[in-house]
Amino acid sequence: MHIGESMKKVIIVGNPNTGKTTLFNSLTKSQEHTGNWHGVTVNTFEKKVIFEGEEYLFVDTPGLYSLNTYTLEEKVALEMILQNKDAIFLYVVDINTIRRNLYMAIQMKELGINFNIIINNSDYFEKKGNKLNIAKLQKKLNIKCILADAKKTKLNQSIIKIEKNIFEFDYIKNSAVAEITKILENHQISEPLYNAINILENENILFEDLTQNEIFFIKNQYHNYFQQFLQGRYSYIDSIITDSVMVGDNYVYGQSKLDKLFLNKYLFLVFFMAMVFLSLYITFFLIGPILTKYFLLLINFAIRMPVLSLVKYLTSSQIVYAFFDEGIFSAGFSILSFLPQICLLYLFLSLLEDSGYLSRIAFMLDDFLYKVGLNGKSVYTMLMGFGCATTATLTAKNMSDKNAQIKTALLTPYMSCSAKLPVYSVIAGAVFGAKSIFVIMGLYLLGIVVAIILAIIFEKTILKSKKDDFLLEFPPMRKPSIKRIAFLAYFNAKQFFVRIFSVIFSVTVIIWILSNFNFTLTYVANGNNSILYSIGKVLSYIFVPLGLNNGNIITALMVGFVAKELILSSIAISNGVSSNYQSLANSVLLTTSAVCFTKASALSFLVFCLLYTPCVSNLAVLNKEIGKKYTTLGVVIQFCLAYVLAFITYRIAVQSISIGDFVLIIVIFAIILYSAKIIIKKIKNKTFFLNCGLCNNCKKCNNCKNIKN
Amino acid sequence: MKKTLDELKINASAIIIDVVIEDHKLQKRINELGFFAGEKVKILKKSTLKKTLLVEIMHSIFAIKKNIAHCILVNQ
Repeated sequence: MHIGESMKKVIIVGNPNTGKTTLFNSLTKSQEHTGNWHGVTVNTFEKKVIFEGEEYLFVDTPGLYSLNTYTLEEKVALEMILQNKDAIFLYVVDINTIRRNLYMAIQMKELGINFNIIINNSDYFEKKGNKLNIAKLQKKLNIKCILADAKKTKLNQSIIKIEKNIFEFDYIKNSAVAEITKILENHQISEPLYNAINILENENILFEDLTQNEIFFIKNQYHNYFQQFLQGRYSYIDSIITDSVMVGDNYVYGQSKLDKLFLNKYLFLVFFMAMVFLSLYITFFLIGPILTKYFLLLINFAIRMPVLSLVKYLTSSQIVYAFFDEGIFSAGFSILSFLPQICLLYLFLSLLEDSGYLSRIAFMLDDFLYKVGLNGKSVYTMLMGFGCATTATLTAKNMSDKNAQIKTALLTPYMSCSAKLPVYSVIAGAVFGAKSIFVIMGLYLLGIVVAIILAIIFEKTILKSKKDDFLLEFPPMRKPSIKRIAFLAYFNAKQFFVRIFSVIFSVTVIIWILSNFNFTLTYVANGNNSILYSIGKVLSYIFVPLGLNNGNIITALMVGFVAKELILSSIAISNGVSSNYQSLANSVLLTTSAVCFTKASALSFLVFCLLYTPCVSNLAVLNKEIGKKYTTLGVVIQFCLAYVLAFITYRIAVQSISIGDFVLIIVIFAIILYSAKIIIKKIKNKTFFLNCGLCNNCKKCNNCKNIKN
Repeated sequence: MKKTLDELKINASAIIIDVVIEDHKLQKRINELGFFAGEKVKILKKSTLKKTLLVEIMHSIFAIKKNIAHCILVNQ
C-alpha cells in the first residue's frame, strides 16, 4: 500500500524493541503484533486516523539501529524514512538504552529530518534507581522530548506537532561531504546528502551516472570517514546525556534473576523440554478437550440448531437441508470447535514471546543451531511456526544473511502449525487413545528432526551461512500482562474466524458439492461416484505403498494442500458426520466408514500431513520472500519427504519390510537425490551470476554494465 | 594487559582498544552498537559450547559470536 499524498503522514521509527508498535497501537487504536524480542515487526503497517478534523496516516516501521542498514527489514524502514523526509516523524527511544538509541536520531538530524522524541520505559528506568531530567535533555538536544508510556499514550497535538530546528554537526560540516553532495546533485541523484555520507562511511560507489573520473577523484581524495563520524556522533550524544540522564554504575538493562535458571547450561534444556511437554499436554489433553466440548455445545445450541430449524421451515428440499447440515455446519462450522485448543497453543507461544524467554533460548541454542548452519535468531521464526508457518516465515527477514533467511523460511513449514493440530488431535486421539500424546509428541519431534537434517544438507550444498551472523540484544524478562494475553487470544481467535469464513468455508462448500455430485451433476449423496472420489481414486494408486489406498483419504490430502483444517472437513463430508472431535473420532474407527484408519495407516497419514506443504498461503509468502526457485525446491522436497517417510512409517508399523521395499526406498531416494542435484546445480549457477558482486571484469553479471568505463 | 574479548573470563571487565573485522559491514554495525575504542565491556556468560558470548556494553546486554569477540581487542 502506498502512502496517500493528500494526508499528513506520521511515521514511527526507532531502534528495535523500543516500543514502536506498542505506541502505534495506542495512537491508532490498532492491534498489531508486539513482542519482547528484537525484530517482531518486519514490515511497515499503516492506519488512517482522523484527529481534530484532519486525516493522518500513521506508519509503523521495523526497528533499525542505524541508517547504515544491516538486515533486510532495516532496509524497509530506511526506504520509508528516505522517501518521506517531510513527514511527521516520531522517534521512539527506550530510556534504558538512550545512548545507543540516539545514534540513529543524530543520523536523521544530519539529513535535516525533523522529529519528536518519545521517551518510553522511564518508569522501569527510574524504579531501578536511575534518574532522568527531561527538561535538561530536551534543552540540550534541541528536539522536543515527550515522556510517554507507549502502552497508554493517547493522540494529542503535542505529539504530532514537530518543531523544525536546524542542526550543524562539526564532523559532517566538512569539505568532503559538501563536495561529494555537489557531484551527486549535478547528476540529479536522489538523496545526495544521505548518499554522500554513505559513500564516505562505506566507500561504496554504486552510481552508474558518475563518470570514471569522478569515481577516481572520490576514491583517491577521500578515505574511510566512518570512524570519524562514529566518534563524532557518540561524542555529541555523550555531551547531551552527561548530566540529564544519570545511570547507576552497576545498572544493566536486560539482566534478570531468572537468568540463573534460564542460562544454566544443564537446566535450560530440562526447563525448555518440560515447558514444551506441558504446553502440549495442557493443549491436547488437560484443558483443550474440555473447552472444545463446551464450545461445540455452544455452537450447536446458539447457531446450528436455530439455523437448521429455519431451513427446515423454509424448504422441504432434501438437498438444500443436506447442504446446510453437512456442507456448512458439519464440515465447515464444526472446525470452530478447535478454537479453544488453538487459543491455548497461542497463549503458550505468547508467554514465551512476551516474557523475554525466547532471547535466552536463542542464546543457549545458538551453538547447536550454528552446527547445522542456522543461528539463534532462527529459534524465534521456528517457534512461531508452531502457531502459523505463514506468518512465522515473514519473521525470518530479521536475519542479515540471505542464505540463513532462505534456509529458515524453507524449514519453518516442518514445525507442526496450529492448523495441523485438529488433524493430530482427531486421528491420533481416535486410533491411539491415551497413547496419542506420544504420537503427537513424536510428530512434533519428527518435524524438528527433519528440519535439522535438511538444515545440514542445505548448509553443505546451496545455502552456506555466514558463520558470524548472530547479534542479539537481550530484552529484560517481564511478567506478561493479562491484557496482552487476552488480546492475543482474541487476535488469534479473530484470525481463525476469518480463515474459517473465507478460505475454509468456501472450499468446504466446494468440497461438499464435488463429493455429492457426479460428473453429470446428479446428486449422489456421498456416493462413490462423486467427482472428488473419482479424482481421488485415480490418485490413490500412487498412495497404495503408504497404506492409503482410499480415494476419500487422498481427496482429504488434496484439499489439505489449500489449508490443513480442510482435511477434517473433507473426512467429515466423506463419512457423513460432523467435523467435531467426537463424531469424527468415532467415524474413522468404523470399517464401514468411507474414511477409516488402522494404526499403521493413521501413522502414515499423520506423517504425510506433517511433512507436505502446509497451505497455499504459505507458498504465496515463501514465493514473495525467497523467490520462485527456492519455493519450488521447498515444495518438491516437502512432497518427496512426506511420501518417503510416510512409506517407511507404514512399513515399520505393519512390520513387513521386504527386500522389495528396500529396493523401492533406494530407487525413490536415488530419484530424489538426482532431481535435487539438478535443481541445486541450476540454482547454484543462477545464484553465482546474480550475486557475484565482484564486477571488475568478471563479465558474469549485469552489475558490470552499471559502471561506466 | 591486552587480550581479545573472547579470552576474558566470565564477569571480567575491560576497555576496548580496537575492533578489526574483515567484513566491513559487520564491523560498522558492531561499532555502531557501542563496540568501539574506549568503551567498557564485560563478559556475563558463555553459551553451552562457548561459541556465543553474552556481553554487557553501554548498560545493556548483547549476545555475540565468539569469532566476532575474537576481533575485539581489549585492555584488561
